[in-house]
Amino acid sequence: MVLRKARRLLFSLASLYLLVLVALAIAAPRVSPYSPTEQFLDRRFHAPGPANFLGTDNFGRDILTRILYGSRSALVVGIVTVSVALLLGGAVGLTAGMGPPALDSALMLLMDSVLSFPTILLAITIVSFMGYGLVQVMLALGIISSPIFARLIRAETLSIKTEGYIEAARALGTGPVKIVFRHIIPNIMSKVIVQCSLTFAQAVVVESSLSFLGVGIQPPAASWGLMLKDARNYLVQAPWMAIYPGLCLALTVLSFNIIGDSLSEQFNPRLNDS
Amino acid sequence: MNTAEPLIAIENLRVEFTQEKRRAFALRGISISLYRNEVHGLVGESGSGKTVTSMAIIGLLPKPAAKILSGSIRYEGQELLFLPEDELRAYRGGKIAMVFQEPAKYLNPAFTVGEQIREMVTLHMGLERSQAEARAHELLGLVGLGKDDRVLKAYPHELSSGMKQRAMIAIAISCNPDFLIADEPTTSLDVTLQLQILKLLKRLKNMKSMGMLFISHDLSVIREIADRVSVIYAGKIVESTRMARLFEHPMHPYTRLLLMSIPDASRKGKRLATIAGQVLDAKDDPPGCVFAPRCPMAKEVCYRESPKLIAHEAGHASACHFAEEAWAL
Repeated sequence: MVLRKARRLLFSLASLYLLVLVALAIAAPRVSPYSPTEQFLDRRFHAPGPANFLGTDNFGRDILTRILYGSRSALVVGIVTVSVALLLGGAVGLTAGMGPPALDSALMLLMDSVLSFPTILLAITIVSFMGYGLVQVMLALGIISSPIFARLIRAETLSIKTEGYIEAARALGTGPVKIVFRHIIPNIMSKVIVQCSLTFAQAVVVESSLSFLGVGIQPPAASWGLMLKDARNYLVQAPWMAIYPGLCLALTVLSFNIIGDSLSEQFNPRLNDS
Repeated sequence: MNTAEPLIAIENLRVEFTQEKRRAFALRGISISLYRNEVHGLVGESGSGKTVTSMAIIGLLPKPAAKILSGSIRYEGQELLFLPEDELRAYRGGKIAMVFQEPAKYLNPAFTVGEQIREMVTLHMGLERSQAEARAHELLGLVGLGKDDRVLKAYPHELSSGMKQRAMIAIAISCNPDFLIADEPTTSLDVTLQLQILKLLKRLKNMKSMGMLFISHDLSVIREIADRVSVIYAGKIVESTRMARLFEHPMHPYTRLLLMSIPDASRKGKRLATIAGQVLDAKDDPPGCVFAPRCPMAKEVCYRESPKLIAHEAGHASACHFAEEAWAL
């Protein structure tokens, strides 16, 4: 019981945090006190204070403003990555699950080989082919994340496919396309939504990592990863440069993971008896 | 009633299953004529080929495991076997519908009953949304689920098993099929519900002059609803006759033994009769009668020659070499 309450509280906190983050990200141009890129060279390395709530960086830019704008990058990357991965993985997974066994094996082999590369390495490879930038990062992350969806959706499709109501639908003359959209997809959505949340978290981390490594979002645009990269040289001199963006990144990822886990418990009937 | 052309004529249907080079004979040449406005009971043990028969009719035998070796299934003269998938789909649901054993498993958990009925009628009858809505109301009234919105808006898990089976029936008859296959529709229900569902099916059959194939392992259930009955054993029809006739004058030893194994209050306290031996292994393809190894009357000829399903009297066919003989078991 106590554990349950604690979990529910965590879920609420995580949701609240994300809601606030999304709201601030959308309203960033209105609420942020400064421009994210304007440099005030006379105000470099100011510690957090009344003028700059979270301090300034090595170019005198306001950290709070850059965090707010950075959240836009993080969220956009997350949304687009999950969408691309879902579409790509969904198409592959459903085809593999519904198609002939030979096609299934071929597609899954392809997906497994994508999964066998270290994420960051593969991301860097794809990005270096397509060029650096926000769009490229999102596409690369989408492609990399798609096998997880493909495998999940294939497995779920295979298990749902043998359910009675699919047989009944076929017996009552429903065509294969309609069976996929009306009977299979709605019944695998719960597990897919959980995976979306987890993939979102992963996308935010990898975007930051890529930006940190210099192959992601390019300066002077704002990204948490970029901010951490800038902060690296001044960790002792101006620790706030690293602490606040790092904290935001960690909290965002944690929140998405908490939400993913909570949803997965919610959707799992075996864990759901109170 | 039987002078008319059959609605569905199954002739000498042989179906074989192969899995990893192991063959199993699911149907060893069955012939059944199914008529409009008649309930045809198909009774047999598990694995005797009851469900395979129904799946063959709607063309949903599992591929590639199942192979149709020979035979034909005609619907008003139109051959259904080997019909392309998209043409066959128009028959399923529209002309031939099906009700399954466990309604809980055969309703889509993600949609309400109303949505599932509407899907069917828009798919097969091309109704507009408002018409579909009205049709859903009408159907629920027909199957005794009331005309209020409660059941329409309910998800399957919110209904009791009897209500689920009624909803399943409503979906099945939603497009006015000419023929309904009911595969053990009452087996998972308790006895009082069984009777209600049987009555409902009978009423719907009369109202819509549907033909029906009613599959069950339970002769006492078949007795409640069927007009004609075929007894299937190891993929073969061993006897086929009018319902009353079967109970009065069974002509096949298997049928006789089956009748004796029905629990009866008058024999209370006595041991229930069972049929000795085991069902013929689906792998075997004996030259003789499939029932011979378990038959108390089997003679030498039974192991040598397979008896044909012969009409001995009007509308009473039996596949036994000694069908005409008076025997005592």
